[in-house]
Amino acid sequence: MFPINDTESSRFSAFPVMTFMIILINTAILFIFPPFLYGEYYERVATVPAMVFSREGGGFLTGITSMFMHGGFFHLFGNMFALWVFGRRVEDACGSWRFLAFYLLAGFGSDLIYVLINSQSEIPVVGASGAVFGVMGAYLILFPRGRIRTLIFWFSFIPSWPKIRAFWVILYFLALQLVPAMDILLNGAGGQYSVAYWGHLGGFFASLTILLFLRPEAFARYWSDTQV
Amino acid sequence: MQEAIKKAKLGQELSARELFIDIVQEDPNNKLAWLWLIGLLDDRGDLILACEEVLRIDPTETRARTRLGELRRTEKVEKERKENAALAKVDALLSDGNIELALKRLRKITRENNRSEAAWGLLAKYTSDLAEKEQALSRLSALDPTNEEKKETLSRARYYRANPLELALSYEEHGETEKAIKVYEGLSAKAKGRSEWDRLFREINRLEGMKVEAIVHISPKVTIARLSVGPPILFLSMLIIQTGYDLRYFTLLMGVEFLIVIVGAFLVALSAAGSEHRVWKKLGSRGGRGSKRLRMLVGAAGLTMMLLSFTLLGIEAYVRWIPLLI
Repeated sequence: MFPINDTESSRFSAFPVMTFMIILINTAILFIFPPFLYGEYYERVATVPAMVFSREGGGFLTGITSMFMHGGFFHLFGNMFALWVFGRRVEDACGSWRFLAFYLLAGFGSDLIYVLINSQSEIPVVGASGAVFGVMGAYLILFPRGRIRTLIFWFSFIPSWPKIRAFWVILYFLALQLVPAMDILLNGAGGQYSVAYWGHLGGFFASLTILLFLRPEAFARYWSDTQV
Repeated sequence: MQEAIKKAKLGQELSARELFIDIVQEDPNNKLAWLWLIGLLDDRGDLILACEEVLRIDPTETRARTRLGELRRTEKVEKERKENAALAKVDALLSDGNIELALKRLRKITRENNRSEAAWGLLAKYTSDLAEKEQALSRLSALDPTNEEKKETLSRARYYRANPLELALSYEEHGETEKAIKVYEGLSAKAKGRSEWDRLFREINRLEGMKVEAIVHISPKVTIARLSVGPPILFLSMLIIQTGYDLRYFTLLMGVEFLIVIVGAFLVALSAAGSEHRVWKKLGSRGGRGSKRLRMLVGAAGLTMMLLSFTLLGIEAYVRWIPLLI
């Protein structure tokens, strides 16, 4: 199941400048500093929970730097494609600079929760996925009836691309995170997974918390099932 | 005179009254004719006039004085009864949402009795005409000159009359969207140019859009509270990471920085919300909302305080990071 496009158009702005800039910066960083050449440097600017707990390295600054780095092209493509699908209308709703602030805060919140859950981990974490999950959370709250064109391969080979309510798409991605996240939390199995599941969930819940501060009326509207 | 008295005694009241009226028209100082008229007249207003005439001629006339007192009391009770009935009708109209008709009736009541506090109060509350609001509040203040609250309300009304855009914002932040739209509509009718009209139309359009989309009104107090809490929570999160989730490494400087962030966030929230607050009143703003310049100054001060704390924490993190980066 791959979200490929938002079926509804933006209302206020013609072009999502900040979403595009974030994608551009992330892509530029990957191509200017490719991980196969600067791998060691990546470890220094990535978030390493064990280093945070031993008060070594950049502390909270690595939470921001790691947000703009990716482990490879497919890692970057997955995150940036999801950002393009969900981020445009969120940026349209709140404005470019607020969207940037929200994106950074969601990424930072994701880092905070990931580090707390994986406190012993010495594995460096990079990627914008926490912030992207945050943007998905914002999309869910701001556009509860929004529909996402989603590519589905039935039985793994029959393609179809229906418009699906954002609620179900996002719920699907959250459900994918839940089992490994519980395994990590209950069995301390963080080392077995190469994906920061708690970073994703952290970003999503951080975004809900941020929205509670910034747009409480959006929650009220969400519960009354009124669309923006 | 003899004939008039004779007719009155025979029960021919109408013709007797005509004769007595002729007499007082010829001789307005004829006390006896006026006294007879008091017994013959029906209309309360005429009766009061007759009593007053008798008392003018002979101020010691106790019967006329007593009668005049009774008449005035009855008139007052009658007036109050009528006014209460009219105000009850106004209340019913207001609860039905028929504001315009209610205002028309209130204007009539205040014309008939300019001492009716209830009518002036309702007029001040519901009229969208700023001059009328000021007049009503001025009258209310004159009726109760020792009341400081009424004086302050009048002062605010005068301020809002001079700054109607601020009034619209005040209505909006109290969730009274309709009233805010009316203020903008009133201003757009008097707009002096295309750009001013466009600006006002944008505001009307925005508020109409809010109504259509059923956007829930959030009290400015809640807005200030939530905006004030956000940056300190972010700063606290950064502190938690910086200290490695261990409060023993929490330094005095960090505590001071945190306090500065709390104050700075409050100031930024206060100026960003731009709503009425006692801080602005203490800073001398009559409308209680602060001028644009004052709000910018306070906001800039708050932002500087926050940036200072965030920068200091950033420098601390960066200094610790340098050995690893080099």
